[in-house]
Amino acid sequence: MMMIAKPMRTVLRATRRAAAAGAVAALVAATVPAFAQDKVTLSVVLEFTGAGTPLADHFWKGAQLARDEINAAGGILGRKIDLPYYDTQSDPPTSVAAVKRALATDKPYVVLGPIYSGSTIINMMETQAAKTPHLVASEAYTITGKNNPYIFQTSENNKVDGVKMLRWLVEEKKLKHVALIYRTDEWGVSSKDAMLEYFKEKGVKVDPILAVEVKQKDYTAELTKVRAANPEALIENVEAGTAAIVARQFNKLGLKMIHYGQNVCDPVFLELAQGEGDGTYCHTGFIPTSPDPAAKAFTSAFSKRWGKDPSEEAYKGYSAVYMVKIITEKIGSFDREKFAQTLRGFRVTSDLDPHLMSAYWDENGNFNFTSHIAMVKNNKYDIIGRVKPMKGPDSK
Amino acid sequence: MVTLGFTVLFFQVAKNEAWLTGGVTGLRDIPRPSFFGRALEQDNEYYYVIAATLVLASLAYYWIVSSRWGRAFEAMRENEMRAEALGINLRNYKTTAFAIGAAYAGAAGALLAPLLRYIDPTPFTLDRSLQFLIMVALGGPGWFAGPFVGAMIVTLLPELLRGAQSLYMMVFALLLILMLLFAPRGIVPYVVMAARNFMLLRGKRGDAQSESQKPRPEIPR
Repeated sequence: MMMIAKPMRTVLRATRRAAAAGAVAALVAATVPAFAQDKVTLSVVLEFTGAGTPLADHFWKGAQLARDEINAAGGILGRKIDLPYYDTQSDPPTSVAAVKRALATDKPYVVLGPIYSGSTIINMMETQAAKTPHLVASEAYTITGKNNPYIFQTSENNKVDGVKMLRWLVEEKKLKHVALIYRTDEWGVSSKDAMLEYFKEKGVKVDPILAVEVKQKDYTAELTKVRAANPEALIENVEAGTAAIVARQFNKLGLKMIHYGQNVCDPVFLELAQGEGDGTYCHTGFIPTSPDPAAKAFTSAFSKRWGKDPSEEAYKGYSAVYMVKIITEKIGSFDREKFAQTLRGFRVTSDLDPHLMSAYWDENGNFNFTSHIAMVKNNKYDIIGRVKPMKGPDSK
Repeated sequence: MVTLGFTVLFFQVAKNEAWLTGGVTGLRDIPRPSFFGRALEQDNEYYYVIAATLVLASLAYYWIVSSRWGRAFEAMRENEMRAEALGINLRNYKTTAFAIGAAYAGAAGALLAPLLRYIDPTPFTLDRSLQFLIMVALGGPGWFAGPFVGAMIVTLLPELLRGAQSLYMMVFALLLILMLLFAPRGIVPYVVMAARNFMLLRGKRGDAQSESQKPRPEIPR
């Protein structure tokens, strides 16, 4: 008996172990897909390094804030948001590689970012080929003019932004002669073209028209030319950080004309100008001092979490993640095609979600909302007025 | 200096001559090449074209490095005066080296434009030239494997340091300084030295008697 029982026990023990191992394997197999189903991936492609870092930092912080708020409230249709991130190094070709990698690695539901228009204009072809909705912080109007059904901007494009501000300047300040300094990249050149078109239409003389490098740090030569031409206003579209240098040199050279900076409505400008930017005009969709209840709540939450005021880029990151939630809950599934179709011609209001200011996306993915004209006063933004969107239900 | 100056000049011309280069907005919708009538639209397909070009270019590079030209380039790198005394025409060889480098850069550009389907002046800044220089310096100038190793490090390091986000540039710069401090001739010669040391050690165990006859390990030049 003993001779038979021992092998039997061994066989039984081995069988029990195999069964236990099988059960564990089955449990793991059952858990892995369940875990994968538990999250929704939104790949974030941003300028984490290079010249665009200050802008990307705000966008990323805004997106993280929205992710945490939404996840704490139960996620999107029960799934938690996952935000894997990729660095474009502020370089267009690298941004294409980053988007390709994001699409191949994550198979994301939506791609968010980048900010630089020069990057978006080429990497959006990748998301279009992958039929993946792409919410960008880039503002060049050329982006939404490419008949790409998957691309969506998260702020007004530079044409709308420029025209809204210039309309105010021409109508309120009765300008007849302006000087224009523009930066030579996709955003800067397209913005300049839109402004020149508007000025031509209104019969405003633009002289001189000066091109500057994106990384330029000294504007004395350009500002000296502007002083010699003696226009009624200087209009420039350099980045927020470099706009602070322009403002300093503007004061140093004793220029007394109106100064409008297209990117001045950004806390980065105030940080670097340190009072030298007083008197500069700007126009923006989001501003921390906005009276809009949603903007106020966002500014408070952002400042509490990150210890500084949010910029428009921060609101873009925040609102982009919330828009994914709103649209997905409206369509009731994680369907990329339906998402892109639904966001076209979609209007979001505070009633629909109190986290967001009212906004409207047109059929091309252009963003429209009520914006702000402000003047820097005592190194703070003094809101002069709010401008209705140029398109959509709120434009009337 | 003239080469670096030429880079800046070329960047300005590419940005301003919009009729030819598209200016800052660049040239779009560049088609992918066709292979026996089949357009290589998929990235995976186009990858094989790039890989095949890399193999061919590497073979040519290996031939150049190990040919009479390669030895002349090496002699010039070590000591120009001595090379000239040996009868090497410095001007001719330097021009040839420049032309070979330009041909490789041109081939890379011809592959990049259809890959991205877009080209603008941004990749032609001085920053990119310096990045290539860093690749060579890191890998090991004058070594066949040097540029490959250097290119892999400079390309893959940002991915590995992705978690560091905006601190990446600081970490990258620190790593670069450390590498240049402790491996001033690039990584490849040190890897080769380590491999030789290992082989010598193995030989030492096997044949202790002949130790005195074996060459002492040194950093290969």
